[in-house]
Amino acid sequence: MELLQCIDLNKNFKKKQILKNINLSIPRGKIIGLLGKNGAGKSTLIKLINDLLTVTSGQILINGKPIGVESKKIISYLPERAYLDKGMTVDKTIKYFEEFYENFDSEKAYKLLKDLGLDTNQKLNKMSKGMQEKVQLVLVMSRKADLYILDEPLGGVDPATRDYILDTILTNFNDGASVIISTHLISDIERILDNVIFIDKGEIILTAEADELRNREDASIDEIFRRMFKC
Amino acid sequence: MKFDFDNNIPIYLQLVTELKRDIISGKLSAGERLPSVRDLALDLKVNPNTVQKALVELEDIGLVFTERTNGKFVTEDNSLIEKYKQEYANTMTQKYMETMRKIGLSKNEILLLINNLGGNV
Amino acid sequence: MLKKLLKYDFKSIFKVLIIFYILAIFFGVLTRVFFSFKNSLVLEILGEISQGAAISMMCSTLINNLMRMWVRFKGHFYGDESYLTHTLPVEKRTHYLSKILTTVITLFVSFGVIFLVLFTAYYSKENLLFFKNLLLPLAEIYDSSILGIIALFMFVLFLEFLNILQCGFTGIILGHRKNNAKIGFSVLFGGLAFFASQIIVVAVLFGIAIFNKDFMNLFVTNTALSMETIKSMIYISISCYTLVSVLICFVNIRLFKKGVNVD
Repeated sequence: MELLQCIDLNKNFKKKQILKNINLSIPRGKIIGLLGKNGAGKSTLIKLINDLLTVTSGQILINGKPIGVESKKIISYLPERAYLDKGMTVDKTIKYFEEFYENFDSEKAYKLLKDLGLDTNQKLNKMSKGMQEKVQLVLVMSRKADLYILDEPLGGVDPATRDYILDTILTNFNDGASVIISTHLISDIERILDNVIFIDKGEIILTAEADELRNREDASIDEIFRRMFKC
Repeated sequence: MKFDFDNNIPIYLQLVTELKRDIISGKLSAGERLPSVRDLALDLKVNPNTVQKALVELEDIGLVFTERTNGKFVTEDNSLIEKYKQEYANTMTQKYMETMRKIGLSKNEILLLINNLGGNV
Repeated sequence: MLKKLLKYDFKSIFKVLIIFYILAIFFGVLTRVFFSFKNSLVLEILGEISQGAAISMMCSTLINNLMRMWVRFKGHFYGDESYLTHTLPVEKRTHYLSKILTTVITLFVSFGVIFLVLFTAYYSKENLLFFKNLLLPLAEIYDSSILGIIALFMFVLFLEFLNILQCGFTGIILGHRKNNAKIGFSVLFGGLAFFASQIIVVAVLFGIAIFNKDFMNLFVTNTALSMETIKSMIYISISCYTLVSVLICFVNIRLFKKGVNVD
C-alpha cells in the first residue's frame, strides 16, 4: 500500500481551478522533490494533504485511508510560514509537541537546537525570523513520522544551515519513511532526491527518478527545470 | 570521502566511479569492509537509495560482494581489481591523448611533456 | 487530548481575565471602603467613582470572556496558528468542545467573581433584607425559594451567554467560507444565527399555543395570563432554549467537520 495517494484531485478556489486532475503516488523510503514555479500549486497540494484545505473533487489517501487523526499522527509538516505560538518559549513549545505527538523525540529536538546554537529559554517572539524557522524545522524533524512534508525548507537560510538541514534530512531517513520537499531552489537539494515531480499551472507535467531523468536529458534537474519553464 | 558531485550526471554513476577509483587505487583495500549505506550517504551527502544503487552496480561488476550478516566488502580478487585498474588507466590516457591531439601536439611532444613533468606528479 | 487542549485554552484566556478579576475585586473593596464613611462628600464621590469602575470591570469581564474566545477560535482555526491546530492528531469535534468547555468554566468563574465583587461592595444586613424582600413576592408567586429564583435567573443568564458564544462560532465558521470580507460575514451570520435561535423558542411556544388556548392568549390578546400559564411558559422556554443550545453545538460541530480553507 502506498504511503500517499492522490486520485483525480481537483481544487478550485475563487472560481479558479488551482489543481487539475492530480494523480500521484508516493512510496515509502524515498526523498521526493515537488518542483515548480511560484504559484504552480505546490503549496495548495501540500495544504490539501494536511487538512488545511478542502478537496473540490477527488481523493487523498494516506496508507489507504482518508485524511484524519490517524494520518495526522504520521505526517510531520513544515509550512512555509511562522505558525507557532510566539508567546511561548522554545522549551514550552517542545513540551506542547511532546504532549500532542506520541512520536515526538524531545531529546533529539534539544540536541538539534544545541547544534544550531539556539537558546531554548527564549520566547519565540524575541527571536529573529531565521531563528524561528530553524526552531520550526527542528520540531518537525524531531518527530518519528512516516511522511515528512517540507515546504520551502531552505528559503531564507544561510548556506551553512542549508547543509545542516540536508544532513538532518539524510540522518532522519529510514526505509519506512518518505520526505517530500517542495522548493524552487533545486540545485541545492537535487543530489539527495530519489524522485522528482514537476508541477505547473496546477497540473503534474513530469514524474521521474532523478538519476534516470539526468541520464535521459544529459543535464541536471535544475537545468531541465529551467529548460521546461523558460519564460 | 568528500568530493563535489556534478548535478548534470546521474549521481549514482558518479558514485560508482568514485568508489571504483578508491578500490583500484587501494584506498579501499581488497577484502576491506565498506562503510554502511547509511554512513556513506551521510558522509557524501547523498541519498541512501543512490548509494544502494551504486553498490549494486559494483556488485554486478564483481568489485563488491555482500556477506549477509556482515555487510558489504571489497572483492578479494586482486586480478579483477588489476583488470579494472588497467581499464581505467587506458580510458583516462586515451582521453588525455585526445585532448592533447586537439591542441595539435604530436605523440613525441606528448611523451616529452610527460617525461619532463611526470616527475612532479 | 481534550484535557490537554483545555489546559492550554484555559491558561491563555485566564491569563487575561485574571487582570479584570483583580481589578473588579479591587474596585469592589474600594467602593465598600469609600461608602463606609457616611459624612464626607469627597469620599462619597470617590465611592461613586469606584462603584462605576467596579461595574465597568464586571461588564468588561463578561465581554472579554466572550470576545477573547471568539478571537481565539478564529485565530486557532483560521489564522496562522491553524497550521499547527489542524495538523494535530485531534478530531475537530474535540477542538470545538475544548473551546466551549473553556468558556463554560471561565463563565462560571467570572460569575463567581462578580458575585464576590457585589458581595464585597454591597453586603450589609439591611441590603440583604432589602434584596430578600424584593424577591419574596416573586418567589411566592412561583412557588419556590428565593435561592431558587436566583438560581433560575443565573441559569438563564448563563444559557444566554453560551448561546451568544455559540452563535458567534457559527458566524465565524460560516463567515470564513466566504472568500472576502470574512469578518463582516462572520458578524452577519453570527447575528442571524442568534436571531434564529430566539425565533425558534418563540416558534415552539406558538406551536404549543395552537393546541393550548391559554398559551394562545400570549400572542393574541392583551389580557393578563394566569400564574400557572406564565410558569409553564417560562419553564418551557428555558427547556427549549437549553435544547437550542445543544442543537447549535451539534450544528456547529457538523459544519466545522466539513473542513476549513485556510489562507
